Amino acid sequence: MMEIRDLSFSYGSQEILRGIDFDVEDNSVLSILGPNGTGKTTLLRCMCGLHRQTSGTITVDGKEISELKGRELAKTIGFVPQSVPVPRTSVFDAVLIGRRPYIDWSATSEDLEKVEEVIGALGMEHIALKGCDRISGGEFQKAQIARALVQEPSVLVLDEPTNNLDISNQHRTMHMILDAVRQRGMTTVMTMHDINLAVHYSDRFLFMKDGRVAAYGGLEVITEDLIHEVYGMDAEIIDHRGVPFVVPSHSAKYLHLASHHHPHDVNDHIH
Amino acid sequence: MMLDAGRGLEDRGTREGYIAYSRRKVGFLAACAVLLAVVALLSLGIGNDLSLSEIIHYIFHPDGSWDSAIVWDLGLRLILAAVCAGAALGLAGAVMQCILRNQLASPFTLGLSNAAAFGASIGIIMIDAGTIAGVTSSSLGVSGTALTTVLAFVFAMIATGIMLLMVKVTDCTPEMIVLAGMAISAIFSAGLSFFQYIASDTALSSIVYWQFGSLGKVTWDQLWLMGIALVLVAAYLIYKRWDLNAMEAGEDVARGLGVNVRRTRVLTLVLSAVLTAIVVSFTGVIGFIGLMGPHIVKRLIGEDNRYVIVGSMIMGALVLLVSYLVGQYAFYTVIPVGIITSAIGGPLFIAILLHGRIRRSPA
Repeated sequence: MMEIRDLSFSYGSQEILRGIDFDVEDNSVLSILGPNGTGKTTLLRCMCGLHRQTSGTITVDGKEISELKGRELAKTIGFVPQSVPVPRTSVFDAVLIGRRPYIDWSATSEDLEKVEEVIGALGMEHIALKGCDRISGGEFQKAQIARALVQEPSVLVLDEPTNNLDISNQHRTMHMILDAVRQRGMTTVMTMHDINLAVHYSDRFLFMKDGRVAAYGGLEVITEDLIHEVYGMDAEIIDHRGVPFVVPSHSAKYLHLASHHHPHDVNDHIH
Repeated sequence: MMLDAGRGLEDRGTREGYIAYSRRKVGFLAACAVLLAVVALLSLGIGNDLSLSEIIHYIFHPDGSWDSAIVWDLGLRLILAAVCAGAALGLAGAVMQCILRNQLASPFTLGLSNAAAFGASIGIIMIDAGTIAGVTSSSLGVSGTALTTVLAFVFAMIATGIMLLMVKVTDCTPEMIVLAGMAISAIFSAGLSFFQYIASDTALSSIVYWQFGSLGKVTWDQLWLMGIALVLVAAYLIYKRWDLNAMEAGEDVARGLGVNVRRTRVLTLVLSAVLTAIVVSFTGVIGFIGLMGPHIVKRLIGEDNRYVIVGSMIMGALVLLVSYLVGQYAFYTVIPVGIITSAIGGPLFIAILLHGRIRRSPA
């Protein structure tokens, strides 16, 4: 269980996060949503021990994250940043580095077995010995997630795991992440831009606005008022087989225009 | 043929394929090491009429005879100097390219070579001025060449200190360290030019000769010091190879894997700078080994530091040894090894640049 209590974070005099409070249950998936520049990534970095919070506590099973050191931190939290440099090693090597917290002198056969198993689970056997600079962006993203999985942390933290993926790859990647974390009993926290993708794969939602929590809870917190409050945008929420689907209201105007094929009218309406 | 080998690996399990893939890299390193040993041994026979068995006899049973002196002082000393200096520069280059995230980084990126040359030129001018050198040399109890060597080392360490201070007081990125290194290099280069301008003709020729870089002036004592420093630094960096690999995966990933990125970066930079300073103060400026050694290895077996660190040492030693032999025996007169390495290194540097260009542009 991960508990965040009254968390604040400032860069110098600029306050980025204020009074953040929430829990993440074991084996659950939490999505953090909100507009650009609202502190989502900063919050993730605090949760991973990459930033030290100005005040408040972040604990995993009662242990304060900012007090964990080196290998202990690596075994508690696994982080997949939004973008990382592409190393010029094979995919297998790039995944194997996730075992670093367990390796003393050289990788044991147990380390290699775990890497092989995760690579198999993500269906990457055919590219295991290819260079990371020779595979697609989606495949490299999967390799990054595989790296965090072999790290075997209690909590997996993902910053925009589906960024730059096409719609089919977004869903395939999310399925794969969920299968892998459920099987391993890991807790997952991720930032997401796409609400309609997040609703399919998350147990809980944390909406942020200007460095504070705007809403926290299950599907029920996603309301038209909340979308307006957080994103400053009118939206309709349509029920699609019991799952809310968020449609921006103003987009209907263009939908209407497009269906009538009156390109000249578009200019008249855009102001 | 390459394709068939690849398919062979895929037919096996992922793990077995990976083990075979790793073994090929180890095999490559072993082959290079054997090649280095063979070249070193054969080169002992060049320029004299001793047989291989006589050479091996004198290596293990030095007896103070003329032939024994040929094997040890004319042969082994220079060959071991080439191997140690080459390995040290190759190692420093590989590590700096990794830590500074820059393919073109080398032991001289931090301005070490110009700083060392600046220090050496002070020493040479002091000796040339006579009276000052007499005082300094007798009070320190060192000879003129030793003074030059010590000053070269001291100024190379001053350049390292400036870099270290920058890293300590600011939060500077590897990219900034590279740029600052160029600035430090330019400052010492200006000082060096000034000394060349005011130096007498004899001092000027000594300064220029020092900069050429040559193995001939390395003594047995210096060789021991260089060897011990090389072994210690190499052992530390080999021990840290997983951390260096983690840092190649990005700073956030490395920190998340429990690597103390800042400390590792500073410590590795300082250790490779000290190693470079030792080599440069004994041999003068030998360029491009730190660039060539690592790049040849990376092209052939990829950029995994578990293999690149050792590979760059072997390849650096091999390239410097061959350059030395070319400079020593290929022409009518002996040419300083620094000139040969730059003559080979320059075209290679251009090839590396062009290779990057070609890969970036769409096919």
